[in-house]
Amino acid sequence: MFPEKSLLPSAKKMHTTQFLFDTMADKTFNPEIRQLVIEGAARFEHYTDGKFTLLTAGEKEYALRSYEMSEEGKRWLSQMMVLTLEGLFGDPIYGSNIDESGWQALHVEGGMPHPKTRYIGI
Amino acid sequence: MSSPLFDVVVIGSGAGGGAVAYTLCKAGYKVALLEKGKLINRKEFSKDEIAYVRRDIVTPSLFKEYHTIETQQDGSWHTLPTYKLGWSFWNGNIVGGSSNFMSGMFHRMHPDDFRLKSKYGTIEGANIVDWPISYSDLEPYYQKAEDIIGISGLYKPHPFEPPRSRRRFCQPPTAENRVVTLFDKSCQSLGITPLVTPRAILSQKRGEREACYYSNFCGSYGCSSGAKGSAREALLKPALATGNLTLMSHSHVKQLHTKGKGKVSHAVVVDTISRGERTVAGKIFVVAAQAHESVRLLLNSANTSYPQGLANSSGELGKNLLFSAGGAGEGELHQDTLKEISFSALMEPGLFVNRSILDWYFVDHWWDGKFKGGLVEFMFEHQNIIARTIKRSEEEEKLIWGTTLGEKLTRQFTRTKNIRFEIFNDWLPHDNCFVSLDPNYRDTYGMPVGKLRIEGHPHDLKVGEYLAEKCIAILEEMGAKNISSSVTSIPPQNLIAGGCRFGTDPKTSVLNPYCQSHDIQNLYVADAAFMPTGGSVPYTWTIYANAFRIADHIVQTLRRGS
Repeated sequence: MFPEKSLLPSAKKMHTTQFLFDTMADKTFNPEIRQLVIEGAARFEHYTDGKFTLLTAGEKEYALRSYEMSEEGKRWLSQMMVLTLEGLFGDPIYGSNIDESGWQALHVEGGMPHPKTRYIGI
Repeated sequence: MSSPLFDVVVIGSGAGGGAVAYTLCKAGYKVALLEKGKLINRKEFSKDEIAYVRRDIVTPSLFKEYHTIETQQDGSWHTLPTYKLGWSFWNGNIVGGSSNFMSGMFHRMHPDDFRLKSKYGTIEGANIVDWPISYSDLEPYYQKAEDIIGISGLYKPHPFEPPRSRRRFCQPPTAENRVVTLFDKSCQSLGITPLVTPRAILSQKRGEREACYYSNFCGSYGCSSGAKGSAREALLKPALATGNLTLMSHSHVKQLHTKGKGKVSHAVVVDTISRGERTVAGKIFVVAAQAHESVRLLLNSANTSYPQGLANSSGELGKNLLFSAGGAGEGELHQDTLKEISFSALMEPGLFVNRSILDWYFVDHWWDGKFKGGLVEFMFEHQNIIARTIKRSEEEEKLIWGTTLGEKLTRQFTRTKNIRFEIFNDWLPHDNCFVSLDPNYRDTYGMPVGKLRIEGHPHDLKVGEYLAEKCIAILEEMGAKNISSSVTSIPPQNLIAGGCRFGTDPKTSVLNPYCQSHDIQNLYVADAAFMPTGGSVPYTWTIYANAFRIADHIVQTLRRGS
């Protein structure tokens, strides 16, 4: 969903998966959203026979769009979208949006002052 | 553990509690200020969107403290806790309350807002009443709040502008984006009068408070220069400097205790970290926990002398809860079709739009009829980066991702800027909007949570739609594209009032004209709960002003008593 060669930095390059883990592992994170993300991923894995990462770009797109047709799939993908955007466009202190690459892609600057600490305990 | 006897115990450190504490401390009285949240100082605030906007670092976790919401579906009432709805009714539970996070668009209520029933008559299904005080009773306190909080602005005569005992504002307005040239011109060609929005933000340094530094991230964030007129910056710091204020953070008040009839003796306070309980005793108690929570505290304080809750002999406690009706809308200003100003000027970050329109505060028109209208405010779309990207990641119920999302976001962020309007009109008081105690749900401290029955009056939507049409015409005149608007009866949870109506008759009101309980002499309510009707402007200036008025009354009472 956030590939290389987009006008936005890719999720891989921005370590978005690590951001996802850090954010959701915190004890203050909404437990219902945590559950939704984990269960939705498991369901999607089952849905794609555990072979999603082996698919071509076109096949991946097809798998995701098909999953989006179900209510659960839609909810999971929306949540993944929100969490990824939080990483890419949140303050760099959270480990994604490395060197403000997300902000630079949109020609925006974060507000001053930037946070000196994260709200999450890692 | 018990504390010494304070002259005044104030519950809640926001706009209402702050103004009472300030006045009493300055007058030499010993005040205990109980705040359930923590203290965040100016230097600790940041523009961390994840922390302040996406998570609940300044409000309780909804899985520990929450409300239940009762709405009508298919003719019957359904209750759901806010942790299921993902809809928080907390608005900033830190020292200084939600005034830390306001955007500071400040307006006084109009004299006719104090006599809505006499001026505009009754509306079927609405419990409209006149206030027991008039604008002239509150005007000196609006002025006092303006001076102490520091409200910047530029006075321009307008038929619906409330009279001012001093015309000039204490500071000139905050700096404005060039978009106002386009806005003002568009209004003029439509025969509309644009006004400069008074703001509780300093445009110039004042004492310990620095001027606004135009951070571009104002509402929802704490201010890092002290320019924003929060209760913490404007009132609590000077109150602490008197040496008369004992500020207790992490102190949640579960109940107030009465000594038999007629007098509150002490508050039962839980330390939110250790969970230890203690009592705080005082001569006078002032509740200012935000309207719905003030009601809950009084209901949760029921005892054998007051089985219906404190200050509730009328049975009116919690009833006629108010929000602000109306809605919002926006349109896109595009680089290639922009008129009057350069695109680079439009894109300059941080500066305010500062425009409001009072032309339709009261409508008396040969075709449209005669009715109470409201205020509209114009501003840019909030600059929150994550929120803006999320909003643009969906089209017609389908997500956009991949290179398409990249193209859309970069195009919209670099070649367009959204101008927005917000409508404020009366949320009419009626029988299906109130707070009570939920019989089934309790918070982390074991107390019943507040249950909010929420329904809007159909008249509110008509007024809102009327105002939205006017705003859309302005955006069209400005050349905005893709204009959308939404007027609904879903309440803005940050604009909450009512539930403890003030009035002269103890049978039909909770508080007397000084916002003192009719039943219990040493009990006052100093947030927006006192309002029997809400007016059509954001509440904060009125909360500050009225709390200063209440505080003067308390000072006089204490002087007489000593």
